[in-house]
Amino acid sequence: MTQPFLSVRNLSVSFGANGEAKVVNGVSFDLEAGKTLCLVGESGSGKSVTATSLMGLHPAKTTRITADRMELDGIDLLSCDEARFAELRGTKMAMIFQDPMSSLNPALTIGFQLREAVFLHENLSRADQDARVLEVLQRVRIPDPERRMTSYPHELSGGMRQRVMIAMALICRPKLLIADEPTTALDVTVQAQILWLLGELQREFGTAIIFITHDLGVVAEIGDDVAVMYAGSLVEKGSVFDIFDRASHGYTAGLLSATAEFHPGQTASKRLVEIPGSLPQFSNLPQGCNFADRCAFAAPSCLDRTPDWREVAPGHVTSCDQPVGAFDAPKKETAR
Amino acid sequence: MNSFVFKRLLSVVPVVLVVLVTVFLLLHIGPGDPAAMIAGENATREQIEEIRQRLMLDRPLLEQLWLYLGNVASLNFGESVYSGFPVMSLILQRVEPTAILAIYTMVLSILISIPMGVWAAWRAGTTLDRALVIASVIGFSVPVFVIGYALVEIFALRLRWFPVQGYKSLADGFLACIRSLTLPAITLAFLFSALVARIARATMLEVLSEDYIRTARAKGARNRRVLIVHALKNIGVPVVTVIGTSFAALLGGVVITESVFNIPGMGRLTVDAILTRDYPVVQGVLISFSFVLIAINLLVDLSYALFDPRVRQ
Repeated sequence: MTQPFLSVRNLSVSFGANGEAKVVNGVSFDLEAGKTLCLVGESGSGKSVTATSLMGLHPAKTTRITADRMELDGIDLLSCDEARFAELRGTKMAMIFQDPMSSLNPALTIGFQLREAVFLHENLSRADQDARVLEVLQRVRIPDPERRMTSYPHELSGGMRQRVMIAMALICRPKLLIADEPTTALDVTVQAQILWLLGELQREFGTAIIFITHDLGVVAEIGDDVAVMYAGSLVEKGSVFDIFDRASHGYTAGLLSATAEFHPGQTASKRLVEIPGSLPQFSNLPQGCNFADRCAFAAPSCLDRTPDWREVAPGHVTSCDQPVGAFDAPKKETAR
Repeated sequence: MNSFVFKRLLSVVPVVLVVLVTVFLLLHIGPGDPAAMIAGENATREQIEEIRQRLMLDRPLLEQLWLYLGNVASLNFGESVYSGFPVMSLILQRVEPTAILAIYTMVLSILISIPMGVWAAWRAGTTLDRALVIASVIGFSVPVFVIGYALVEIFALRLRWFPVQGYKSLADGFLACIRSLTLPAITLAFLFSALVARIARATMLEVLSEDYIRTARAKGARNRRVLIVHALKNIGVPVVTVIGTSFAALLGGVVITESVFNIPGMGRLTVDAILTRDYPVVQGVLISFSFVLIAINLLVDLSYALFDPRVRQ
């Protein structure tokens, strides 16, 4: 069997000088070239930390990263030092962030910031750099790119800035793009445009994408595979169809029933079903299944023993001792 | 851009007027007869009358103000009551050491404080960072004259690297002049660089936690590049602001430092004029200091456009 493009095994990340806060705990996943993996979970579930660990963006002094394997395109990321990471960032992997308002440097022109992404990694003349910048600005559909190169970030709208961020990330054609909630800060119509653009660029460049989001609507739109995280651990992993049609972990089921839906012809509005309770403290994780005390399907044994991974279908795994089987939402019982 | 500069320049006009009127009224808001105050305790009635005539204090207040503004506009600050010399020429005689001392202190402080502050922020939380924070607290807590005398004791009396006191003017050669002002400049730089270094460190810490710093690292920029290209320009506005506003404190320090090192500058002129109740000189000195501060503030405002493109509209 050939090695997958990106392979992560048993990744754990802790913060603090003595590793007090273990915010990511034993996460494993693979990603094939050109595919999209969606990391899903609520705020604080460890999805961003997982992704930024791949980029080596955590301060080395206060972060402890351990894993059995963390390989990107044959490169062992665990053995990379800061200098090696700096070479990989931009060329092998790139990242776009949640808030395009604050992610661009307000004191530097768009053109400078894009050009920098080129000349950090490639030895090109100034004219060639400019040509590359213009080309990529056209690719992300920025109108009037020549003029935009001399603009400052505050002169652009949020959607335009996110396009600039995407252009900056993709200018050296990295094989992996990590998108950390790139559409959360944008309004809905712009969201759709950005997602469409990402999909188009992915098909053209063959980029693999790790897409971090808590918006299941976005997952359905662009995901190939989905990994659901809860309290720093993976709880369920499978294809987008597995997750949406046959969710088997109580948390995934809860997330799905907490999603707003609208069907044409629907008259009465359905009450959204929330998941009761909140995330446990990282320093004080419960015994047994992390999610047990919030789970609608929990059995008494769930509170005592840590659940095993089980494969409910080929490629669809869940960390649950009471898999929900076919997705059976608890909405009927709780709806008033 | 041009309209930004124009608006800033325009905003200076009312400030200048307020300063001039305040300085003019200085003589009149105090209790008693200004002519008698200037003449001193042992003056005869004739002497007081003579001063009143000479300074035109017998005219109506508004007319006096009008005459005063007219004189100032033609750079005529009147004559010293004490020595009889024109105030303008007294100021011109004394401005050189003070101007050189202030510029020397500024350059020295900026060269020390900004690298120190930036470096402390980069190494935040380490022992070196803490040592720097403590040093800066000491720097602006210890009075100027204590630092001054300590430096004289070490570098002038024991090591004999610099003169104990006195001033060599530029006419005696640039190096001699700089040498005579080095200890005073270091003395003042303690205070000034402590202030600037603290602000530089604090704003740098803030900037380093910004999202765009993470973006710069995510595209593969190395640490030093992130610091110099992406962060430094963004601490410009707060740092220049504190340099500008603490310039007033620097001028205050100049007065004391000139006494400690026996430098015949504007500070000494001010102190002497106040002690001898030489009102025209006090007024002239006040106006000069005020105009320098107004000019510095204007430069600070204009420099914002250099660091922050959002200001330029």
